[in-house]
Amino acid sequence: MEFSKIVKLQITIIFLFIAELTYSQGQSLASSSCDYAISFISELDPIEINRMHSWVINVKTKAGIPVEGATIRLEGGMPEHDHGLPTNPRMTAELGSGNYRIEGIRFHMGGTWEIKTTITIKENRDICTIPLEL
Amino acid sequence: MHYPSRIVKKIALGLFLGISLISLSLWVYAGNKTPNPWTADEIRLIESLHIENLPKAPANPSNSVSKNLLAEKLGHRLFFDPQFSKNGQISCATCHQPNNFFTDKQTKGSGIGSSSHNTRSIVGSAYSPWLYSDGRKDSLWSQALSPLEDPNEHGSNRMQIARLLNNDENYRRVYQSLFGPLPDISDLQRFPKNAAPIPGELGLAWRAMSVQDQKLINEVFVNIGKAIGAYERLLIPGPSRFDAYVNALKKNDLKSQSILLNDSEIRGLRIFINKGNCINCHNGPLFTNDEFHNTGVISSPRDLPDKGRIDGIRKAKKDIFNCMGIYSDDQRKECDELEYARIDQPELLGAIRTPSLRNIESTGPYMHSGQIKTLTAVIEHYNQAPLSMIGHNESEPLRMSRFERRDLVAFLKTLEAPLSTNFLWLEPPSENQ
Ligand code: HEC
Ligand code: HEC
Repeated sequence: MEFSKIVKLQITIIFLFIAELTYSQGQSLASSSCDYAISFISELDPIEINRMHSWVINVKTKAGIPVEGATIRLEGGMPEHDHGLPTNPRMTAELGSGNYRIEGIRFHMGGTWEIKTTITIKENRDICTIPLEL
Repeated sequence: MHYPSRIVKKIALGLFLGISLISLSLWVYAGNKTPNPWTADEIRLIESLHIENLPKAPANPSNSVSKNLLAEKLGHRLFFDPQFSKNGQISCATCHQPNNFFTDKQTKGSGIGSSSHNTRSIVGSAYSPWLYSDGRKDSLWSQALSPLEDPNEHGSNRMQIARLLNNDENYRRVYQSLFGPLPDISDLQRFPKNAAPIPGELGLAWRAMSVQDQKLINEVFVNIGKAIGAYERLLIPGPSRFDAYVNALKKNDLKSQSILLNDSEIRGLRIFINKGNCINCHNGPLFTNDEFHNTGVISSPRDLPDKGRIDGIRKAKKDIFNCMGIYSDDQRKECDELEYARIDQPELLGAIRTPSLRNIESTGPYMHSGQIKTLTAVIEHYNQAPLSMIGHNESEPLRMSRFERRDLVAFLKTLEAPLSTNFLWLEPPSENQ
């Protein structure tokens, strides 16, 4: 193998290693295909299973402007196990600057979760998915 | 022209060696944390089951005496006292026997009559947000009130209980120093001999009482429950052979590891955390997520299929003795569990609360109605994952070989251990206590 290729491989391995580390911390940010950029901060960091806690979800437009006056609904489950969250979390406050408090969140299994965040503003509804590895 | 390119090559070589060194050391570091048979991920899972992760039993905000020594002693006495039953022979300890990890070796509990379910252990139940197989109770104190009035268990009633307390000097003294004066219930017109809000004669007598008088009696009844709850909070599992193994694993002490668990048990542990998916539900230091799952356990021949959680949460929400009710000491009524509980979802149909697996070998028969008699048969059940009679079985057939099933059973048997509770609490209290 050519010398520079080996270096590249090395670097890739290191990056994979680092990626692996962050992944296993269970803190997954941002979201996928929806109209907003969302992120969350968990009261429990790292998130532990079997403990009730709350999140603050931040909603911005793709251009980075905080979204105000939205109603947020959190659902979700484990795609591999075909069951939902063990609780029924609710939005309990709009905190300003695009931040919303969601209470009553608990995860009862380790593994891959998908949190479906439904963001409703007037008639407009969009679902952003937050992947989560516990 | 030639020269610089050699420098570049040297730098590149240096960089290459440096990076190699870093990645090698990272690799060695990660490798070191992974002594033979386990991967780093597996170690994380195994350590998550360690008893040392169990925090001190939480105080219950809805029970203001839940960490009060006097209340614990009162609860201790009440727990073992057969006076509080219809025939003077049944106490909590009749079914929750300390020698059997607070179970009774029977298919279903047996008191005045036969209980509706298999007797669950009480060990570690202070950690659970829900009690009973369907979670129809949300605190130990509220739970304790049910068997007392269940006609098949103690068959007593709250009026009789208030009288017994009043008539027993020792009880009266302790009760009053904890909760203040007992109401004067000597007037038989206002306070009949027996009464409780349950169907039949007792119910008629209860409804004839004024609402204020009912409340006086309810308060005494609830306080009894709170003392019992305070006692039950002391029943904590102890470290088992498995936990000693985890200790050795943490210290990378291979020799002790191989002494503590044999090959079959280690293979069983591997199945438990991998192929068997057991750790999905039986997780954390108590081997339970305290959540509700439908695992397709067939009901006993003469029983209707148990609707499980879908009924349990309705009952818990309506219960006047729940965390949000007037008898709860939680002033702020921060009852997150009730508040954010799921209701009416199809998943909850036939869903049963995951039991702890600590001391599982000693606590058979198994499942909510004692349907399955042996651990081997339990594993057989998971291997087949039959269709549910009601709702939908979450688990899928595991296709484990006979040897794998045997290993898994061997592992489950490593979870035996005496409680870490002081033995004085595990025996009936002595007279002078
Ligand atoms: C006649 C037998 C019997 C008697 C007497 C009895 N219990 Fe039970 N107990 C049971 C059965 C059966 C269950 C499980 C019922 C279910 O899951 O639906 C149970 C469940 C419990 C639980 C819930 C455990 C859990 O993890 O869900 C607690 C706590 C408990 N009992 C405490 C008590 C107390 C306190 C008393 C005395 C006031 C008492 N029991 C008297 C049979 C009995
Ligand atoms: C989907 C969640 C889930 C999974 C996965 C699971 N269990 Fe269970 N387990 C439960 C529930 C719920 C019960 C109680 C069922 C009932 O009483 O009907 C239970 C009961 C048991 C019992 C009997 C406990 C008692 O005291 O009666 C044993 C033993 C047990 N499981 C072992 C295992 C093993 C071993 C595995 C892996 C092969 C496993 N479980 C996988 C949820 C699960």
